[in-house]
Amino acid sequence: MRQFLSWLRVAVADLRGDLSRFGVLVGTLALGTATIAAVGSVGAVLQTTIVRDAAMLLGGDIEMHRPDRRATPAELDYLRTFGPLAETVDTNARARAEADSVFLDMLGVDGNYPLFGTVESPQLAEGEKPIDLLDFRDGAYGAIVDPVILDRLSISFGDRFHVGPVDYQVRGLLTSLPDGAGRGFHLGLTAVVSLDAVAASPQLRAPMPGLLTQHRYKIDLIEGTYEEAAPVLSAHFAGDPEWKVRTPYDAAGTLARFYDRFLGFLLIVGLSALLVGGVGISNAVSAYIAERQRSIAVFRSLGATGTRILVHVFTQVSIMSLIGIGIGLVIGAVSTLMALPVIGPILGVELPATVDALSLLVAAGFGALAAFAFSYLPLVGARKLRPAILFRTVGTNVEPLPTRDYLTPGVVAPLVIAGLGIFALAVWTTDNLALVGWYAAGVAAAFVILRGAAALLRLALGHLPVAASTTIRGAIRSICRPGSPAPVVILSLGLGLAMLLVIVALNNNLHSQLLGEIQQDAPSFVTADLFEDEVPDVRDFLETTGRLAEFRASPMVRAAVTKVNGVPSDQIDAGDEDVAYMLAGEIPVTWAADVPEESEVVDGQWWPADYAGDPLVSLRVTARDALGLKVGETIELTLFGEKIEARIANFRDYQFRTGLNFLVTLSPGVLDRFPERWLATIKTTPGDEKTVERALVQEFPELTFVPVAAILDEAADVLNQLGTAVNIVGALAVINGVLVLAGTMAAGRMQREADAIVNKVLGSTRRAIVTTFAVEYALLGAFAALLATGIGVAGAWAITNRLLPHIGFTIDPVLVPAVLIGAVALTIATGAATTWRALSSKPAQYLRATE
Amino acid sequence: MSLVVETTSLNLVLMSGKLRLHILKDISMRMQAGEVVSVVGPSGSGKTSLLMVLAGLERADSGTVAVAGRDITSLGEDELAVFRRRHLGILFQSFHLIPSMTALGNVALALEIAEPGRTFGDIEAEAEAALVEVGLGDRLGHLPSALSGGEQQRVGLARAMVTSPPLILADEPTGNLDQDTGARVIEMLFGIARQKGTAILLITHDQDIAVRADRRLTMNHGVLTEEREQATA
Repeated sequence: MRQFLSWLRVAVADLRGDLSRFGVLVGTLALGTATIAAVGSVGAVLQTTIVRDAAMLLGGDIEMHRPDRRATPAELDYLRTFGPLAETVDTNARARAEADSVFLDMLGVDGNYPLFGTVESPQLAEGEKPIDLLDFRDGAYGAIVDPVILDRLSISFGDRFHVGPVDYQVRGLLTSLPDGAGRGFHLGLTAVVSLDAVAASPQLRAPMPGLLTQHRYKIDLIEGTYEEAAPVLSAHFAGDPEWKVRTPYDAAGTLARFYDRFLGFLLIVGLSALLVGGVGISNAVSAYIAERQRSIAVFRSLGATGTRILVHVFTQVSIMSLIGIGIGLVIGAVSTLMALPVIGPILGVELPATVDALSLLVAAGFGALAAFAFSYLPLVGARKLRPAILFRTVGTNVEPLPTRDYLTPGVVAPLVIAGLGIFALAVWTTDNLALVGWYAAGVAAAFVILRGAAALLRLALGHLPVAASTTIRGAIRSICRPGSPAPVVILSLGLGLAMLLVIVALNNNLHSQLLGEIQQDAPSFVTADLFEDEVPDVRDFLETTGRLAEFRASPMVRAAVTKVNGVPSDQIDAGDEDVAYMLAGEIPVTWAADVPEESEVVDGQWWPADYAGDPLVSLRVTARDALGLKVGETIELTLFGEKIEARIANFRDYQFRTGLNFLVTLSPGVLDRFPERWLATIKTTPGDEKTVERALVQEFPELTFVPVAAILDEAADVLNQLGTAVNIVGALAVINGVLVLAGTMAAGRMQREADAIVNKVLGSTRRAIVTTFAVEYALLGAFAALLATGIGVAGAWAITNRLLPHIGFTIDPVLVPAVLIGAVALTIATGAATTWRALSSKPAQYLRATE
Repeated sequence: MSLVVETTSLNLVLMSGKLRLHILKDISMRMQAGEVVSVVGPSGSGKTSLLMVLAGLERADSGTVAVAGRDITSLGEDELAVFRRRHLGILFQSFHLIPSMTALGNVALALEIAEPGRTFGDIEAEAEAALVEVGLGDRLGHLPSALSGGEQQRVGLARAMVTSPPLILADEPTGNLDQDTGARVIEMLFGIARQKGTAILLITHDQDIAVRADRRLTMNHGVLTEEREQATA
């Protein structure tokens, strides 16, 4: 033990001197660790808050709900045996006041609502139930409304508006609902009214996902937990598939799943920052060992064993790594404390300003494992350094060991263990083996490609005929010479750029596909359940406004998907927003002889146009992916009390809600005997949405026009803010790449200085030397950028294909050239900055110093 | 006098690309305790290679090397390292001090490696004594960068002798020093041989130094020949 402590003491003493050589190691580790710490910590706080507040999010210990009707008195009596109960109904409707109208997210509540928490409103005392404000007085029901509604309807507090024939008076302004975040994404502005008021309104309809009416019964359990109550309730209502149980876990689940994916992606980006930084760590340690090789050899000549050398250098690298990780943890913790108050309001959750210790520990674990994995090989090289170099002239690099020296169990095993450690930690943190697995495969492939390509480049350049230009000859010689930084520059710049491209391309695709194109192509309004004769009326009216860009209509009937392969829908875990909508109750379904426009059959065959056999169905491909369905399997549809079994003929892919496509499209003839309605999409000329909306609402007061474009704008805001978070984290990966690049250049500086001096002594001008360096860097930068473009685009394509299959993939034509030019400029600039001293140094001064 | 070095028919062949270089050819030599043997010869003749083979830093292709009665020919890397701790001191032309350590630290390092069980206080005291012996008692806390070439080489000498090895290998120890300073270092080296019975193999280009050794060997194209028996300097 004393001996070991003595080794450590000497290692620490030997660390004295210029610590700036560890700048890149400390910097890259700090950045990578900080990113992971911040992302993990924010995620943990988010999860803790969501899970802790799950019952609050649900608004009860457990909830029963159905979309089609209120509970019968007998059902209510049964539910009340579990504990106090609050009944609510979620629906949508259009409110009007004179010429103005607004689309509402209506929440009908009873006297017990809310069971937990408080409806926040200046007009309600702390803990006061809202029902008293909502009663029927002077011919109007009360409403507590989102203040924006007043602006939209051009009315004031206390004024009235109406929904169909029912009048409402604004008696309260809504600040927040206790179960607001758990209600998920709702269309329209929220208005809290009484159940009686909703009951007095005309039939409310749901023409598209997100517009479901749900009758909810939230229960404050007298005894037991939701885990015990849920199976009892499910069993009791087993005969009625419309009844569904929702637990606090489910309420948190949607949010938690969304944040999980988002944070998983951020963590992967953070890990990328660390891996790109890993190249820097490896370079820094190699450079350090190269610089110290004579000292290490002296140790060996004095009788130090290889193990002692390893312990000596490992101790030094560990100390510097711990400093880097420590700095990273501090930055991560501070960033978390600064980010939480900003993120909370964006996501609609109140997040306490705390730091999650476990996440910091995980980040430290990632940092330590990466530091070890990337410094181990250079350390092994140090252990094997031969003291004979003390008698010979050596260059500025450590002579590499023969490959066989690396392929021993003692060298490979620790590396494999560290790699598996990083992998396991990433899987444990993201809880997504597939994501981490594909990512690891991608990173490994990128490493191999970049390393291999660098070797090939040097080989190819070495075999080129000698260039006539001295500058090009010099640049090529510099890339090909032993100890050239070219492989490392290509690796670090290539990895950093590939990472950047993946992030930017993904962000671009998500944004443009989900929002950009949709915002351009998406209809301004959707309206459903039109009678056949209403379709020409609406179209003709719109044409008279002169503001109609496009009108499409398709026949539809309402049907519920009640079974999938014989399994009742309520027993199926949807796992996807589209599929959840498809299984939740009655939805619009249609039929078609030909493949609908703007959709593509990706699996199976479309039926012949004159098909007249057993019912066939075409589903959106998301159903296949989420439920693992195959062509030839069946779904059961229930409509007008009848059940129809349809065999799946094909799966179609179509862009998110563009055009007029239905999740469920049947073969012709199946639905002929049922009364059809129509679904129409309306696209106005740009900027005229509000005017047309107002005109439509006045002309067709009984129809509901869902303002899709406006809702997408709201979604765009949220996505933009999340995109900013991705960009910030992505930028850190790139900064790490630049740091690594700078470190690589700096590590080769001594060699460059020597080269420059010798060139000067031999009569080269500064300009000639600068030009040669610039050509060398430009060649390396361009080569790395080309490789990175290929890897980055392939990576982004693979991620889009695997994780977001219903999002199309395009590459911004400006992005690739921008990255290419940027990379070359960056390499030249970094190279110039780090070799400036070499260019400015006076030969005499250098030669004297190295005598 | 006891035998410190004995080699028999040493051969060393190195490859330079595809070129096969026969560096040492059938070298057999002996050194007694307290004996100073100089090796002279042109650059590239194999002098330093011989020193490296004797130090176990280079492995001969054939022949045997015994130092202090121990055959080191078949020892592994780490066994050689352990062997060097107590049996060898090496003095380099370029000093090779650890730049981050003081003069005292550099000398103490050799003892720390050689005698891991000792307390640091003991080690420092002994290292200090060695530095005092080479006239650097007032330079204990100085870093190598604050020492002159001669002082650095004296630290190197203190480091080489502090473990009291039976053999010191000196590779042109005065090559980077001026004549006076070099002469002082050589005096000390010879003094160690006389007082402590340490055998010293001295590689040098300086004929004046070489002739002062007990024996003068000449290396030429890998062949070692003895010039003449010399009188004690």
